[in-house]
Parts: sequence; C-alpha cells; structure tokens
Amino acid sequence: MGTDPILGREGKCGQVQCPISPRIAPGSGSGAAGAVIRLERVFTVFTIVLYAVTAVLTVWSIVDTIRNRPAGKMLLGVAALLLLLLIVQLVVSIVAFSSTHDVDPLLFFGYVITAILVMALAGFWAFAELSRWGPGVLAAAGLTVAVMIERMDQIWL
Amino acid sequence: MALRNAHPSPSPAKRSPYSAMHTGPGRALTAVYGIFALSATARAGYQVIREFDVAPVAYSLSLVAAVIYIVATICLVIGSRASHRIAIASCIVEFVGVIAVGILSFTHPEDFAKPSVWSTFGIGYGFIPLVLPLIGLWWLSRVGRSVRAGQQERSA
Repeated sequence: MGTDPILGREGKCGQVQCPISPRIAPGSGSGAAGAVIRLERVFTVFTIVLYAVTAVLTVWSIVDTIRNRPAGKMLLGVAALLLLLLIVQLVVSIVAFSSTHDVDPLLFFGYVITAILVMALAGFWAFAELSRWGPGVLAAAGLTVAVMIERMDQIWL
Repeated sequence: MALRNAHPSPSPAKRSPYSAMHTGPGRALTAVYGIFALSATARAGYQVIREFDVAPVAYSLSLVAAVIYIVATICLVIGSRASHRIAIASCIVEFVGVIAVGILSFTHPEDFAKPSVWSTFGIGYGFIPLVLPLIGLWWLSRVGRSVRAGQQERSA
C-alpha cells in the first residue's frame, strides 16, 4: 500500500497535471464522484469516533479527579488511543489533502499537530503524577482536543 | 505500576523544594499553562504569517501573550527559586495584559477587527485567560509560603 504512487502523482506526470487525475478528468462520470462521497462518509465516521474517544477520556478523567484517584493504566490507555487516532487523522489528511479545495494547509495542519502535541505531552505529564491531578491534566487536554477536533471539522468542510 | 517504580524521582535532598510548583494541583495548572502556550503560539504564528496586515495590533498582542504563556510554563516545569519568582512576575504581567487588552478592545475596536487571545478579557477562550493568572498567583504564593515554612523548621 505504502509504495503505490498516489493517483496523478506518478513519476512521468511530474508537475504537469496528469490527465488521469480524478480532479481534472472532465466529466469522467459518477465513478470519481462516488468515490469522493464514500471518502467523505469515511471521514465523517472517523470524526465521530474521534469525538467519542475524546468524550470518554474527558468524562472518565473528570470522574477520576472528583473521586480522588490517580490516572490508572486504563485511563492512560484511552489517552494513548486518542493520540494514535490523532496521528491517523494527520496521515489520512495528508493523503487526502489534494481532494479538498480551499483549505489552508497551515491552518488545518496547525490544529492537527497542536492537538497531537497537547495529547502526547499531557499523557506524559499525567503519567508522572500520582495524585488525582493526573486525571485532572487529561481532563484539561481532553476538553482542548475536543474543541480542536471541532475546529478541524469546520476548516475541512 | 512496576514501570513507575523503575525510575524513582531524584532524592528529595537534591530536589528544590520549589519543585512543588508542578506537583499536585500545580500539575494541572502547569498543564493548562502548557496548553495555552502551545495553542496561543500556534494561533499567533498562523495570524502573523498569513494575515498580519489585517490587525497588526491584535496579532502582535497575541504573540506577546504566547511568549508569556511559554515563559510561565517553562518556569513551572523547572521549579526552582528563581523560576518561582519569574513565574510570579509573568502571572502579574499576564493579568495586567488581559485587563489592558480587554479594555483596549472596547475603547479601540478598530485595532481589534480580528480577535487576539486576550481581547474582550479572553472571551474566545471561555475567560480562562482572565482567571488563570489569579489561580497561578494563588498557587505560587501557597508554594512560596510552604517552602519558607519548611526552611524555618529546618533552621530551628
């Protein structure tokens, strides 16, 4: 999968717009359009998954903070899962970036990369704390990432 | 849990008592400062690179805010006597900045066509920028008091 050339980016096409690229193929029919719609549906599902994991992390962290528990392995696991999903989001959006229009890459990837940094650093920071404030850190990070996912969603559309 | 015990923290004698700045509630405070440092830097960076001419005053102030958040975060993470003082100073600057920019955004709305982190007292960030320096000052003075109490105990 990784070695496959991206459509329209084959070596011989170079900087010249490749005629087989789905973006410029004139009226190549429902095939490309259908693929784009399917892709959008996958993105929507992925965004919902991102929201769900963020919500679980945030609520769980707040509950643990209130119950005066340190961050357990399970909670840190959810934080790691969210970090992984954000990295997947980064990779997928890099691959799919050419299919979208009018998205400022600096703005969009600024959010994705900031969210990844926030989640990674918060994970380590929470791991180092053995009091209720470990989950407290993750709650703050979860709320921040939720807002960032919303912004990413707005920017992409 | 075994992993946590595998690398214990340095011996308490070697650690500055000011490291209490970033433990307990200070851990969450440091995290919130870190989040603000990251997001304010990212946002100010974007604004300055892409559309600085639209609202140069607001965007310069965003950049100033980002730098202050970075300084405060680093000071909290270091947790030494000197960093305790710099952190207090940056919290005061931060609070004055939020108030000043908040007032300016009402008196000179033409300079704030686009929002900065601190405009309208940090409304875009749920007024957290207004509350954060106060919580920071409260926490830092608490740590300072407990460190001084500890020193008196040892010398007595």
